[in-house]
Amino acid sequence: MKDDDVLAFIRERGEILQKDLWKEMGIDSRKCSKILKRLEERGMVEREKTTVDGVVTFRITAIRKPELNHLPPCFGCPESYCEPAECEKLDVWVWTVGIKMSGED
Amino acid sequence: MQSLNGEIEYLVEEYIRRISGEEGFAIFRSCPEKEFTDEEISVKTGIDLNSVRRVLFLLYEAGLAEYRREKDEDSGWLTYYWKINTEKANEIIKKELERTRENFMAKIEYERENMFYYCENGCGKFVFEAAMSYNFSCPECGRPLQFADNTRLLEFLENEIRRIEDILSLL
Repeated sequence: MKDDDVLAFIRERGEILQKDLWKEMGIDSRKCSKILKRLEERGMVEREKTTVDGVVTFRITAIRKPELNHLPPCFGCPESYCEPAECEKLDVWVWTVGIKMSGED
Repeated sequence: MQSLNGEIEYLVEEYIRRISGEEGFAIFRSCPEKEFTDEEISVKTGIDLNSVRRVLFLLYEAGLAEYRREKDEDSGWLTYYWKINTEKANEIIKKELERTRENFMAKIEYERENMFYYCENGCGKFVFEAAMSYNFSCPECGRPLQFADNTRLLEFLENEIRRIEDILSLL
């Protein structure tokens, strides 16, 4: 089980109790705790101590980073040569993000 | 809105994410300033050794990491000693932003020179000539094609170019 698998699971839920997380993911509670500590250090999740039914646990919340899609696909694109006018990725980005962002002005 | 300096830091982070994924970014973040081995990073992050090596070579290819090799005289094993080199980060971001700006300019020219029609079912977008050849009906689903007004998009791309130029002026 990789850290990013746990992160993806938390992101999907938005927030989850640590005592539920390790059970639902089928991982050892100590391992889960170590993974969460690393994710917290990376600034990917927040851990807030809480008591549920008399049990002390942590409420884990995924920290929402700025959405990648406001950066165009050209940035960091692996293609060394391209025709921007014919690039489908750029076209989709321009016609989706562009419409959304210009509508917010 | 983030400050421009904050934005540059964000761009470096996003660049690393795009070339090496979320795991690659975690590896990059965990690398110390001094020299280190891939095994040290694997232990520190809990990420398997092969993934750490793959990411370090990706960072090397991007110019963000360097290494030296040492051969063990007895076993013949090679040990790689890595070092993160962020001196080139600004140069890389500059190159990526310049490429993005050029692509935006080419896209603006193309959008200005053509009229577009699209299918509301999301089947596709067509230039005027193609739409006319389909008799303004979607070739996939038959739905009437709609005129796509790109005025706002052109404004958006022009604003983005100005934004890129603001960032470039700081690099």
